[in-house]
Amino acid sequence: MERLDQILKLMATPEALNVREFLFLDKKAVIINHPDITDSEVVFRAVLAMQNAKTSDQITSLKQIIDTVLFSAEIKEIEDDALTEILLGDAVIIVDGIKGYLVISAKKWDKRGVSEPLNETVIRGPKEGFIEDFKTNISLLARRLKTPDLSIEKMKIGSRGNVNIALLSIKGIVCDKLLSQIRDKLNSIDVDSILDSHYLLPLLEPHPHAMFNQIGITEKPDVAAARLLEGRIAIIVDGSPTVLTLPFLLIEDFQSPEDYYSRSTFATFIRPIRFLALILAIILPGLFVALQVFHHNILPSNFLINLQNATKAIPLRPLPEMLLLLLLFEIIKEAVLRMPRAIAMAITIVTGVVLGEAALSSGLFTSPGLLITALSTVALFTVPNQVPVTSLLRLVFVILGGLFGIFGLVIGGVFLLVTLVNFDSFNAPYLAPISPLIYPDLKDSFYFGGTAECKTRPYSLPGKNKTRMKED
Amino acid sequence: MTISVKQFSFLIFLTMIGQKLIILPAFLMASSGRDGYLTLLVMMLLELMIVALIMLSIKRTDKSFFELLDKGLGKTGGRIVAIVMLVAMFVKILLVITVIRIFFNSIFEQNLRDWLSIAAVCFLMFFIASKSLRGIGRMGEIIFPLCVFASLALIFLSFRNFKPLNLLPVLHNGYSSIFSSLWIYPLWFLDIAIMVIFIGQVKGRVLVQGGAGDKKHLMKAGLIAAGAAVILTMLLSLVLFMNFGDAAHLLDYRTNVSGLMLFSRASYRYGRYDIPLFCLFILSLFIVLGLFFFSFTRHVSYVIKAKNHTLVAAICAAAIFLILLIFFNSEHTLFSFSINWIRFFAHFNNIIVPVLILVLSILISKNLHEKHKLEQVKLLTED
Repeated sequence: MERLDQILKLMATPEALNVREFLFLDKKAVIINHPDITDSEVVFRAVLAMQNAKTSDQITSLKQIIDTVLFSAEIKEIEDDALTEILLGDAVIIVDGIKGYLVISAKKWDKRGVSEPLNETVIRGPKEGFIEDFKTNISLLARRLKTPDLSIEKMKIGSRGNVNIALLSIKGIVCDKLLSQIRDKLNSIDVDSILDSHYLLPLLEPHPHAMFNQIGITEKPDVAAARLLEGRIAIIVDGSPTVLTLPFLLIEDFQSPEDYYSRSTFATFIRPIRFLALILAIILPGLFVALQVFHHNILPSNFLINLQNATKAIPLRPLPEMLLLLLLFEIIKEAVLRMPRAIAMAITIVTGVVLGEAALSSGLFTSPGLLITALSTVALFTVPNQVPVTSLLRLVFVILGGLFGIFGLVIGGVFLLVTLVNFDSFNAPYLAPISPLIYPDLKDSFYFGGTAECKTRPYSLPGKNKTRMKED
Repeated sequence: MTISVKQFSFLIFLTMIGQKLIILPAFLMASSGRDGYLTLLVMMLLELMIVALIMLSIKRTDKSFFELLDKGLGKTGGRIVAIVMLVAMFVKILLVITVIRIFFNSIFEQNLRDWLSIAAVCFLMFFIASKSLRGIGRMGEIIFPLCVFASLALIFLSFRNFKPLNLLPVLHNGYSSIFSSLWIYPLWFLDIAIMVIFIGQVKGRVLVQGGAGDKKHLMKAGLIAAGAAVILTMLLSLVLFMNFGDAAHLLDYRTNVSGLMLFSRASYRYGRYDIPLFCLFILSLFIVLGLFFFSFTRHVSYVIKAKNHTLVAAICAAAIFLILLIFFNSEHTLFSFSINWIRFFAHFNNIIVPVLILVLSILISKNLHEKHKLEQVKLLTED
């Protein structure tokens, strides 16, 4: 069979495929599948159904087979590119004398169960998270948005990986122009494979070299569904438990899913604290160094005396001391993240207590320096998605503070502000609804008015139909 | 790229208070004595009038500032006006950079190398000007609440040592000292005239015959913002003058009133908690600097017919850096220069340009209206 030979010729190791010939009515047929990623039972049933087929009609097309013989299976007809379907885990049937290929959905591989995502834990609210399975992830979202307006566009990316990608949006809410822009961008991506959704970030982002995220990420279906309902677009990548959402606004990182499941007063109380923590995390080490190096006169006299006593026996100047401390904290953070969990706790205690105590008593670091670094590091994690950016920024501010004092910090702050106000994510202003000031969206920004107050979708985002709740 | 009425109002506020409280009261104290606060009041009222003029122009036309110059005065006339404005803006930028340096050198007693601090500020203003006017508008939205908070907190903190008697007697030196201050220091006030650059850049349709257009709230919003700036500036300067009405303090604390303010509150026991407030307040000065430099580079582009604003901004920033470093390294040289003959350019920029632009916008919109009327008559007669 010529078509079978063509398929096998394209494979580096043709023996990796399972090829079985059988008779369908009076015609010769062959079923091809990848045994490692295919459900053999589905393949067996399809073959059985075709072998036992009894029909008086003359079979001349694949459609007739689908309608009369294999009607119970999840099946489709394709003209070419059968190998891709086989490599995706489906079984392909070729019938001698009939054009085209029959593709039977027979994917099967091990997957982990739906569980709570480690990066987005909550006390209240849904605990399930996305997993690596494409179909499961779509079903998790579709289950929450049972509307005919939910649009799920599937496509494949990667010349070698052939990775399934789903572009999700809600018709009538999403900005059509943006949707087609993203669709075109995804279709134009020419890469060998996408191993995780994070691979897509630099390929989709309008400013790929920028420091700031322009696409949101989440591992929680409820968060993704909420973002879709706000008019955003979601992208699911096969093999990745992280779903991308866009456009992305900075304020999203200050909105925890839990805010929506607890009292709004508490959310209103905690959101400014998150913001303050982030500012402290970035500025505090730099300010401390600036005060030590340039501005002793600003500090209260008692604290100044204590500081002088603490620093006089230290071999390092404030700037190198702080840089070294931050570097050590980064090393500890990396090590704790990557080491086996069984010993992580023990190592954390060793580094936290033993190393800290030893560093102080050995006279290598000052206790205020250690305190500031620890405070700043803890504060960083109040907004976990921003940790890579904020870690870098605080390093920059330490250098600015150490070299130019408060002047450097102010100049650095204004630079950051100018950058952020001019930054956008797919035409959505990055700092909205604070700048530009969009009053209706303020009720879900640094304060939270409660879900009953959020009667409109964010005006900060492009999109249609901004009414989400009818006025009383 | 246009900015919203809200952003425009915030920028009016920030531009009006920007430089006034950092250093100007000290000059006024030196020139008008105890009546310095009255001079400031007259200055602020003048600014209020200029705000009204600019907003009337914005309401009248959707043409940009340079289009108005071209259409109203012709290419050559427009360029002459732009060149005169350029001179005033140039000196103003030098002054703002110097004020920022003084602020950091005196308040924080931080003696940075001159070239380093000037280079940092010049690079920052280049960075701001290389972006859009919309970016400055958005910056204003963020800095506005910080600045209001800092000003109110400074007023509150300064109430400790104030003596109302320091304000008396009123008009101790007569009216002449007030007017002479206005005549001598045009480069230190009426910064608001720079807002002419926003003509044709504020969102909404222009005022139409028989209707209010989309800009009906513009005047109200702008005047409220300007009024708030007048009240806040006057409150803070009154507190200052009540604290330091005795000009003898100036001898001790040089020309920097913020230095004087710190004296009243500096506590070595509890630390200088006023410092963060000053850092927030100084942000308004960066807005002023950004606006002036943005306007400066657009004027240069208009005069030399350049299209690449980023390149123009880079060259201008480099030129300002060198000029400041070579010729005006000392603040005293620059201050003396700014009250010299160069001030006439500032008078032109501050008073004549807003009036001229209003006249041009009225004439051009009238012409357009008549043209429109004629076309309508033509259409009717054709029917």
